[in-house]
Amino acid sequence: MTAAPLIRLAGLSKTFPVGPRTLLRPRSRLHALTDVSLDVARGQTLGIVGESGCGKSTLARILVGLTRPDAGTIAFDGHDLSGLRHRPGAIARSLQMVFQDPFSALNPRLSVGDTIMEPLLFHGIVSRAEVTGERDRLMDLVGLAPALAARYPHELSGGQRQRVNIARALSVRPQVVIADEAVASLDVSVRAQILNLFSDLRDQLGLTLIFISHDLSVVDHLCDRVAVMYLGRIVEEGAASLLQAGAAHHYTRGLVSAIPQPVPGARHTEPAVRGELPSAVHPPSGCGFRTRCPAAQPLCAETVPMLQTLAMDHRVACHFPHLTTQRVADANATSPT
Amino acid sequence: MSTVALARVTTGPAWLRRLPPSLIAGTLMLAVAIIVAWTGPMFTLDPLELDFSAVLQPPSAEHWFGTDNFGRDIFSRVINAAAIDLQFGFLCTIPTLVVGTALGVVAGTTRWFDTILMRLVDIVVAFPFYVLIIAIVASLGPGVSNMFIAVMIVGWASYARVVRNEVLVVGGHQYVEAARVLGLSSSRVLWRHILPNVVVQPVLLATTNFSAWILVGSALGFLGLGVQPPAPEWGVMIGEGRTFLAQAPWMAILPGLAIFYVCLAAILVGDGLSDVLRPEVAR
Amino acid sequence: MSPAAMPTVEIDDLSIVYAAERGGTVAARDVSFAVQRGEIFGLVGETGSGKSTILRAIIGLLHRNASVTGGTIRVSGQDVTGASRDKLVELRRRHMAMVFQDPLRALNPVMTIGAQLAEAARAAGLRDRARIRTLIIETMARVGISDAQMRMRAYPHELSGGLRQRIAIAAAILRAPELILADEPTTALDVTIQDQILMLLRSLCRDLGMSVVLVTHDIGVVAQTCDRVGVLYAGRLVETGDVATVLRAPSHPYTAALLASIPRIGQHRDRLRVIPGRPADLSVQVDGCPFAPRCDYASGDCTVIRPRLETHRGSQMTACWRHNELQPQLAGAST
Repeated sequence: MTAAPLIRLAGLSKTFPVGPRTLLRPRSRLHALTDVSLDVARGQTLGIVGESGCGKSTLARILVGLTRPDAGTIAFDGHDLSGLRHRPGAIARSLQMVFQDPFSALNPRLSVGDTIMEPLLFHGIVSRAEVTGERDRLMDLVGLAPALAARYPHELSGGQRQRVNIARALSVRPQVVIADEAVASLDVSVRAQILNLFSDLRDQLGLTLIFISHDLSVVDHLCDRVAVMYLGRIVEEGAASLLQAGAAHHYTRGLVSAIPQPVPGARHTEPAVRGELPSAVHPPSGCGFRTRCPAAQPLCAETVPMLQTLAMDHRVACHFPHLTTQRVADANATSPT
Repeated sequence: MSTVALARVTTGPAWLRRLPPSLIAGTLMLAVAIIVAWTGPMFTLDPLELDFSAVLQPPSAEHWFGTDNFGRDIFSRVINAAAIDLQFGFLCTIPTLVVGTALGVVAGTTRWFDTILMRLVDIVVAFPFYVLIIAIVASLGPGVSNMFIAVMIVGWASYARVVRNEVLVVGGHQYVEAARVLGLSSSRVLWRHILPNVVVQPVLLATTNFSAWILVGSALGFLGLGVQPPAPEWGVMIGEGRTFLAQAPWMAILPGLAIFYVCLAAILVGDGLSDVLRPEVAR
Repeated sequence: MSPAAMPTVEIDDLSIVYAAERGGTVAARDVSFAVQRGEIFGLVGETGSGKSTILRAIIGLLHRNASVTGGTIRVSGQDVTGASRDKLVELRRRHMAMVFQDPLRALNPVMTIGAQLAEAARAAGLRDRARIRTLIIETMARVGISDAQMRMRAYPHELSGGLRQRIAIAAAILRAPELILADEPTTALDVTIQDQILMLLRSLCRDLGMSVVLVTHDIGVVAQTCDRVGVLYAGRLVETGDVATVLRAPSHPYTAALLASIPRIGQHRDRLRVIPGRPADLSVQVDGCPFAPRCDYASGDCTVIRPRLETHRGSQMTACWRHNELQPQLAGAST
């Protein structure tokens, strides 16, 4: 490690009460996040992938301060944020979020221009005299014609709305942008435009980007690192290139082959991953994935596998990871145990 | 949708053309009622003057709406009652709207206050509306000021509940979360992002309640619990006319029409406002 | 024509218009395709391409303000577009079934799974309770639900999305229809569950000889599931053909551009190819090719005269004036 990471998450856990309130028994709790630790370096693009209920959105909400974790710490640029109910303005502004549904993330009563100018004026980022100029600059940055400033959200297309959301997030000059399924609701051709916009903005502004998605192809395209989550835990983490062939966790491997690739002749005859997602209220003992895992052994039901370093920059939480020959050699070289 | 079918205003300034016709019609009708209530008494006969030589007269050139069983001019009584009834409508609607909305906002943002307030709302709402008001007025004693007290005790609850629910719904919208993530202060988020999207419901409720209050005022007058005879009030007049419904139907019908006119105006305003206040529909 | 050779669905020059205050919106125009027995046909397109509207027209469930203004739809040789209400009910009961995007909304929340499946069986004319029960358990096993007895007592909300979609498919295949209409059946599901459901659809089609029309926005789903594909743009079929051929060698610029705008694992490009401009406004009538304003290769003719779907090569058909000269460029540009 050369420099301290910009964001360091250590041991984050979060549960939510579910089910009806009863007088005698405490309510069941849904385990949204369990013991999540992760570093994000400045300028990195991290993809967080997983299916519904894996905890990726809870993680995003904790990062931007909308939810507070039950346990664990969040450090941003050396400041501990975990105990804070209200983050100081400068830190709150540094971490911004782009939401999944571009329509409901915009106040229907504010015009595009007002939406973008509000944070500028509130935080005094530019003076009142300069504010329209800054608004036009931001709109231009995200590829919106300044003439759209007078429009209201319902008058825009899905792609335009998401550009407004991005412009608003950028208005407070954040260091980190967290995109939570930000392209999931867009049409294919519009999705490509917004993905290109994200990569351009990252390069131009030097943003640290955390891209949360269920779509591995998108993450593989945009990100340099990837963390795969399953049932509230990170099960594998490493360079995004591991998605192409080097995945060691059986869940990651299943997920990769389950994506319908738009190439003919690549059909498989057996499902990539068997069975259904277990309940997050009563997760399986040991490894959360063992109920669906092709390589599960008795040990998997007994002990929770911890994230272990498999090779330089590649961690996996599995007792019996899938190893390529190259990986085995690397693993022997790096970890003496 | 209903307003689309009606002809839009096609001349005049742009802001006027954007308004739904029902809002314009309702506002005009209400304005006429207010002007009549304000200036009418200067031009009409004395509503209290008795004339036993002309009792139960049908409408004529001399007495446009006829006379009642004491020979009082019904036209001047209806006009003079307008001020009382309209004042009652506004004085009941506006304070309950403001107080109920404020309480609802606090309940929607403060959990302990919510628990207490919603139990209070449950208690108020558990009683049938009219029965509760009549019971309160009856126990405090008849009269206009006690009527207001009863309305205040009952009227805030519906606004508080609606506003509190809306604050919770809107507060969970992504644009409110987005505003929080941007680091805007809680009061800023409340005033700029939550309230403007919340006020539609209580304001619409107020326009329907306005006619309900006028009916309450009339009903209390009719029961002898509100405005006391011989003062002119539409409900009182209907009560007096009831006895003579067969011989002099105009005694009850004409004040009834006055109530109908004002309520219709309020409903039209409410219908029009609901179009204007929903940004996705109109604008 | 012998019954075996008769297509399950045959659509000729279908046009559908949504009535609106000013003029109308053309949701489909001159769409023609046929689906053979045992075949999975994918209808792929973006929002507003008309794919779901066409699917609803096949089963006679168009929204109230939409109407078929031209062309014919035949299912198992019988006319749907001119069918009476009773005839439509009969056609739906005997020949086709539909699977929706959101199985939670397609299932009745206050009825158990068993009761809903029994209702579907009775609608198909079965009366004997014991036979209905056996049929339900068999069908549930067929869609991959092993503990059928237990699941029959469950309510829809107690099941996961994947299980609910399996139940919806079970209800659809219960009366062995010739045709299944699937409207984005896996869009609401997780990737691993989507994979399972698509595989199930394929095996059902193979084993029971049913035909499927699968509407989706995801070309990947088409590649994994369908035998043939129709690409829709602005209510027009711009290209049809075997999935392998169309994906490997698209003959229409829109298909090629769509393929190029999808990120793929292991294929690194700094930027994705983007289709310029905005989707076509369906309320505006255009004379030429609807894609011409966004097409990199449009020439003078394209904006003036509308190209009709014509044979490009083998079974591949395309609606593009320049498909012959563009072929080499498009194949290269799409990957």
